[in-house]
Amino acid sequence: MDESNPKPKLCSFCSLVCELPDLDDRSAGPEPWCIKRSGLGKLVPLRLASMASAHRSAVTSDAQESYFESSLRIASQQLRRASSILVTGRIHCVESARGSIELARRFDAAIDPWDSDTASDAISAMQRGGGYGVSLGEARDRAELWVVVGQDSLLEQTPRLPIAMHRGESVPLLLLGRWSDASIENFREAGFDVVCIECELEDLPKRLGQWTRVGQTHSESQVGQWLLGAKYTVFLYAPSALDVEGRDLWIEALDRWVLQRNETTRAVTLSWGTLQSSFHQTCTWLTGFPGRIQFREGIPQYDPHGYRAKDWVDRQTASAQAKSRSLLVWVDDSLEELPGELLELDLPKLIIGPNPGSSNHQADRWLPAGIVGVTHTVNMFRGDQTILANVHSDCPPGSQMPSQWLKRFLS
Amino acid sequence: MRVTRLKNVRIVDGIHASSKPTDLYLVGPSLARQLPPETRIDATYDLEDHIAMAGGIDIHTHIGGGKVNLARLMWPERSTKEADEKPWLRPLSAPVPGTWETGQRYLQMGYTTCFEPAMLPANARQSHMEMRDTPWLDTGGYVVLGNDRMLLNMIALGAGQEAINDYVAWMVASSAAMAIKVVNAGGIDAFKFNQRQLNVDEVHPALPVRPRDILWSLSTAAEELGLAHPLHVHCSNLGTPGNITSTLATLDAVEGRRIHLTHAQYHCYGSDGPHGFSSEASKLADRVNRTNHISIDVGQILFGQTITLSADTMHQFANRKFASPRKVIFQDLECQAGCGLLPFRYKESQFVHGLQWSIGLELFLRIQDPTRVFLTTDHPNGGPFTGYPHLIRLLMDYDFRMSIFDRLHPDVRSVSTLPSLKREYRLDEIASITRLGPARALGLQNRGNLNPGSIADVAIYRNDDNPEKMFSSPTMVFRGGEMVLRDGLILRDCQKTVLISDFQTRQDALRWGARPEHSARWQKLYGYSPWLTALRTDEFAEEGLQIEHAHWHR
Ligand code: SF4
Ligand SMILES: [Zn+2]
Repeated sequence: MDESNPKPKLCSFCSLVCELPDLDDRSAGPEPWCIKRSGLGKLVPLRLASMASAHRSAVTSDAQESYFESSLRIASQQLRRASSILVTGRIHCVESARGSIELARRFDAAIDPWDSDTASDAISAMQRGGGYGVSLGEARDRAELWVVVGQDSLLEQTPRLPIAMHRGESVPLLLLGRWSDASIENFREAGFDVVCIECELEDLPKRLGQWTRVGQTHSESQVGQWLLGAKYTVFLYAPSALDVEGRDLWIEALDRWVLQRNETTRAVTLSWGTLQSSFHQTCTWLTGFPGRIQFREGIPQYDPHGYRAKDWVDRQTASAQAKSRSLLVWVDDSLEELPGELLELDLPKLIIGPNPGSSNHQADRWLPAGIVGVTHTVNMFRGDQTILANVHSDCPPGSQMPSQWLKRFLS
Repeated sequence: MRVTRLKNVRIVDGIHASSKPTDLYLVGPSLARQLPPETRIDATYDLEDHIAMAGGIDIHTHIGGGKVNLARLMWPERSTKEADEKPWLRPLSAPVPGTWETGQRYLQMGYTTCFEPAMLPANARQSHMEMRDTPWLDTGGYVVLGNDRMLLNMIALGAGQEAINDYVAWMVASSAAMAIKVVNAGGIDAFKFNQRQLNVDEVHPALPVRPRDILWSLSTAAEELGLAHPLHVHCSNLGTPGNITSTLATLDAVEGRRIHLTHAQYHCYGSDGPHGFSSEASKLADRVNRTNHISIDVGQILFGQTITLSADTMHQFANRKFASPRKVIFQDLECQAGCGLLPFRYKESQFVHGLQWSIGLELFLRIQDPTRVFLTTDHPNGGPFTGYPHLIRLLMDYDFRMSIFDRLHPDVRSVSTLPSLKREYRLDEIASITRLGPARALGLQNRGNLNPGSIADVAIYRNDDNPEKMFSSPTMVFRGGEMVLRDGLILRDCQKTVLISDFQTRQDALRWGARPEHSARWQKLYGYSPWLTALRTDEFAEEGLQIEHAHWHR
């Protein structure tokens, strides 16, 4: 495609289309849907905040360069010597995922993103029962009824989602679960006719069945009529915004119920993934598994229970001997602070990312990296995992990407 | 430039008839039959008792994209029963393995070029990335159109062929595709409106459009744009008894334009006999034999466990009850198409499966011109691509074929005409259905043959009475003139190429999305600009890929 073409501007955080030129204009006044408190206490759009900090990390002196070179050398030795390696972190783009997986393969390491429990629950629900899914664009165009299931955290994670869901004409939307007035207002402002029904999330898959039973005379049967009347119903939830016991079973039950509806009518689920979707997708195409694998002689072995990152950590920290001979490689595409629980770990760590954190483990190394989609062009999945966006950088590249560091370990 | 001499090798490429051993030279990335005097030869291999074929070309194999990755995800179990029981299938670690394993297994059979036949436009970048991560293979993809609401609206509003051509050109260019694939024209979209079947002349439930109109518009666009490969068609009524009628209607709908029917085995069924299911392979074969502009790939089934995956949600949903084990995944996707996945086990003892098996073979054996019928299992739908050597043996060895036929359901044995088809494929015909034919159908002049100047992708096989053994273990495979495999052992990586169709209006095509009226329409339907999903060619360069354009030589 020729170079004069306009490049899509995307948020590198929630992978929704973000009108960046507009964002620039609005940076003066606080906008609720895309503003976050920066370190200085000022309110700025996420995207601009990230650019600013990208510039900071891009400026490195010669002295620092040589320090990083020696870090690289030492880290390479650590990698060769360690008897047990975990590759983990917050891996948000295809490039970092590829590099991390290749590193794990070469060094027979285990690999699993740090917070993979929600994704793992959604994946295991799907592996057991399947379902009938939908992508955002289809849902937006085709929905006659939206049913949004969950709680406020859905909107905290993806503030622009209601706008992206709306096709510009009035569509009914049923909010089920625990929603604040502010959230309800948020969907209303996006243009939906909102009805909110408070209910316990835990019971929901069962309640749906009750509401739609034929001959239902329940006081809330209005819901049942909506559900039965709509010719194309979209059930939206984000596994990471479902505060329920046994999330995998809950998802499986809901997905099965929706799938079943298709015997006579059309109903689909839109499961909104986390930023780690790019890792899970890439890992699946390279190895056949979504993560939680241990390489042995280059062959991936999958065990969703045994190779969970945090369980590896528990095992390694349990014995002093294991501790000294292990290495945790942290690959970071996030701008957030490093998790405290990571920094406190009494294990040698190699951190590749924009943020060094302040760990005091003497064997720790830090290799500074740029920010995905800001200092470097990368590929990231939108939350529906249908669109893989090529997220263009806006700043001249300064520091290296995690994937570039990883390549240097492999060459 | 590195020069390799393959000495005393028998050339089998479907073009050169001589069976006498000769010398073949690999000069840098190209082939030669003679060398200028005094050329320094870097390596010589005496290949007496061997044959040389061009690298294999798979015209239709699902190796990259959303539904392929879902299939990997839904099957975390590793060993299958077949792994232990049927070693001839050289089972993969899963019905749809990861890209590393896929690339390796294709290379180990002497295949070097593969095409993903069903890229969703919105998901084309992912398809290409997965193929980029499939080592040793050059790859390309076909973009799925014909259920995209944008096109259906255009046809419904009578936009005219010129406007449709512009739109199609943009879709092909922006997804960096080799060709256009249509899957159950209009039917996938109709299913989103709860319609469960759509015949070629039936009207879509929400728009005044018939599949016939879609097939006509798209085949015309492919022709008028000059795409290298004709419209690649998955017909209406997949797997339905009696679907031969709609398959022949599909062939009529394109009114004499070039057309490729994919996994044709699933589309030539009658509804006769004790089970209401019969073979109409001879009807389709007759049509192909009489009509030069039609090619097909077979989509042969192989007995065992697999996963079926298709954009055809309408028919996959209808078949959900056959899922084994019982889990199914469906998706409606981005106003463009959908996908349906079900694990499936083909059994010798089952009447329908046995007949499907014999119908596929009938097509191979009844179609006369081996450059218009191609060897595929529609991997993974009919079975894994690793079953190709087994399938080649079925074609080359009548007795072997019958030894399996004799194990099928008794009713298959009483109705099938397979025993009467005594034809046994020759080696040069095998070269045609696995190399020469697909290359021609795809407009790849310098692949699929061993002509001087062609790409030096070469597979060397040792002669063996058992073709299955022969084709499952080439002694050497060269990619671009470099030996990458020897005696089953992979020696090195190689440069990869992405294959994209070139066509006359390519440059104009890229401007479609920049025109305000188009991007406004796109934005309204999808909620984002057309450039969000469009691939730029420099993305391939950044990924370290070369680009090769295929041309239609009219
Ligand atoms: S948080 Fe949402 S609105 Fe803000 S920059 Fe990201 S996508 Fe845009
Ligand atoms: Zn197919």
